[in-house]
Amino acid sequence: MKNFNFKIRISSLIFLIFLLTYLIILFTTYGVSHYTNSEVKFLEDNFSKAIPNIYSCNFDYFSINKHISHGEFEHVRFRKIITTNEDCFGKIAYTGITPGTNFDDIDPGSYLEFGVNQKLGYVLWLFEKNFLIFLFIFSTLLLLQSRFVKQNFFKYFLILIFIYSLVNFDVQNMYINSSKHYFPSENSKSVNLLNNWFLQND
Amino acid sequence: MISYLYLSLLFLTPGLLISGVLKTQKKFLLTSSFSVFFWSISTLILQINYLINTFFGNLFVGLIFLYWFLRFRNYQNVLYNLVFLSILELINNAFGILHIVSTFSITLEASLQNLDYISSSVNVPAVQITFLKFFNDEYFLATLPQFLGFSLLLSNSYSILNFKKIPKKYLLVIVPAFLIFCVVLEIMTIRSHFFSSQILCFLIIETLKNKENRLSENIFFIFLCLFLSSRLENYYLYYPLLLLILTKYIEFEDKQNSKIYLKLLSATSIPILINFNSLSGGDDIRGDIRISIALILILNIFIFFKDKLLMTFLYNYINYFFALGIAGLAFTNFVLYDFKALHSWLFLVTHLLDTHRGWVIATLYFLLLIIYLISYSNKVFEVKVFVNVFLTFALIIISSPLHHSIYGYEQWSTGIIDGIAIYNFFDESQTRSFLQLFLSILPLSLVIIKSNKENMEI
Repeated sequence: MKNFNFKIRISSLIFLIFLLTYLIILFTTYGVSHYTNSEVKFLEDNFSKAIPNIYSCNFDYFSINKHISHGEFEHVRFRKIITTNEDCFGKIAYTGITPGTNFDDIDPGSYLEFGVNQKLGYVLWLFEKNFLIFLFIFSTLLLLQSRFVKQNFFKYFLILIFIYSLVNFDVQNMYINSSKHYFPSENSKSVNLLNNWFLQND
Repeated sequence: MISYLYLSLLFLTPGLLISGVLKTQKKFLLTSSFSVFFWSISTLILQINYLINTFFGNLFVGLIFLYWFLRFRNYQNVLYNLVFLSILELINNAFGILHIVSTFSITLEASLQNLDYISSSVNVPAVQITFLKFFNDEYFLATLPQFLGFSLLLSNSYSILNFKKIPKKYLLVIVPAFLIFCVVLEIMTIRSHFFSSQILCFLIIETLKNKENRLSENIFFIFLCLFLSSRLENYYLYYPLLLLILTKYIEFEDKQNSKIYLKLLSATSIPILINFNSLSGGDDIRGDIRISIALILILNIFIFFKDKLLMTFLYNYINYFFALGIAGLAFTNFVLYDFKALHSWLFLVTHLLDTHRGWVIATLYFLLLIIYLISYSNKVFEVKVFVNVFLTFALIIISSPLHHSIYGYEQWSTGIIDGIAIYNFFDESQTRSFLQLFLSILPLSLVIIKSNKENMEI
């Protein structure tokens, strides 16, 4: 039992330290200034309910994501792209929509693509609020597990993963390069498989 | 409906017969695996395809079914499998739950060649080719990979629940993993990763059991053969784990009994024959059949001489040697590819830690599982297995430059990274291997959930 207590305590702590260290590295790479919302306010003041003019990495991922969410579009995609340009880390690189287009003039079901710049090896967790909440709870559970070694916190981790995955399932059920969903997939039905792969290729 | 039943029975008949012969009629969940084992031989012995695509062949299978039905009278077995497969087919035909990717077309191409009695050199495993052989003018049996994967997943889970005497409701523990989007996406493709992961889990569980609780060794060796046939890269990625498992498994057996070594030799070399055409095709390391043969020979020699001093020493420190090997591979990759090797590793890490499709959730879940499994294990061998699984994860990452140097095309050769999307051709195979590894240890999470330390062993 002692052996178990020691192992779970040490391994939880090591895992937690790794996570926090990586998070600190992300802080130094991307910063957290976007949470001051100043850019979001700027976008609201100057591009109220319209597509902003995106050039030379002038807006960050967090602000544009928040701004676009006001449009309640169904198919917004953020394609993450590697860059070595330090000024562009965490910034929006491009969009396919004409600047100044009003949200009202865009079909809610249309496909809206944005490119987000990131540094290789350094993910964009700091710009994604839902994930940060997940990570906070995850780290807290790790800390609690290392403190209260006689209790098994595994089930709480599972509940957390279950809730996070369920909440985000719809958002993730989307192709990155089109407005299509992965599921349901008409192509995979037996009759369509026969049609697509045999009758059409005869 | 009739077409569906016809194709289902055609697929299941060899499995039903094998389960009858091996006296595992009550292990319904293993029947489909026996079936796929038989049908996968049809990629090597092409004449077996005659049984699938001709009327007289079907008639012969029908007679075998009739013989099985009258001889073994194990109605529940066939009924369970038909119902399970029907449910998956119904769901797919109603909602479309499969994810059809480019692998589908190349696998189908290989299947069609086989059904025309032509051997295919497309480098996909025999098991995967078998998935797409069951169709006729009216129906396409498309959910076989899911049927096989879930059957074995349930079998593995029940196996743990029974031996640990854990209530069935705890089966819910494995549900959260199947809500992670990248996991769902992978298991819904026509690929053999999910099935392969559950075969490995089966082998691990059988090895961890006491001798009296184990299934017959013939079943173990059939599954070992199936594991090596189900993915071409299994020879490479899981080699140290196989050394570990097989040495332990045979430890209990009669050392003077040479039959077991013959069975081991057969079970490990038959996959090379089954996948002969696939192993001969392709541009990467998997396409060199000589390496696979050498690995299998070394594995058999290692197990045969496992009581010798050198082998015992290697076995005792296997994870240290494995870690050293990974470090050596990292160094070699860096010498060979310089900064491009670093790009490969970072691409993979970026992909695995990204929030899109829940990749980071799968990665954190995997690491968490390893931590708990290691902490809850109180036997040296169990710890060794789980540490080895973690090292396999490291191997998947470290070996990525070898894969990218072949499939990374122009971006790889020029070393350009600016403007490359993090979801690209560079890393898909490696990330799929990671998911396979994750799913391999997933049913073992049942051992953790009832955290009574005295009750941890399987």
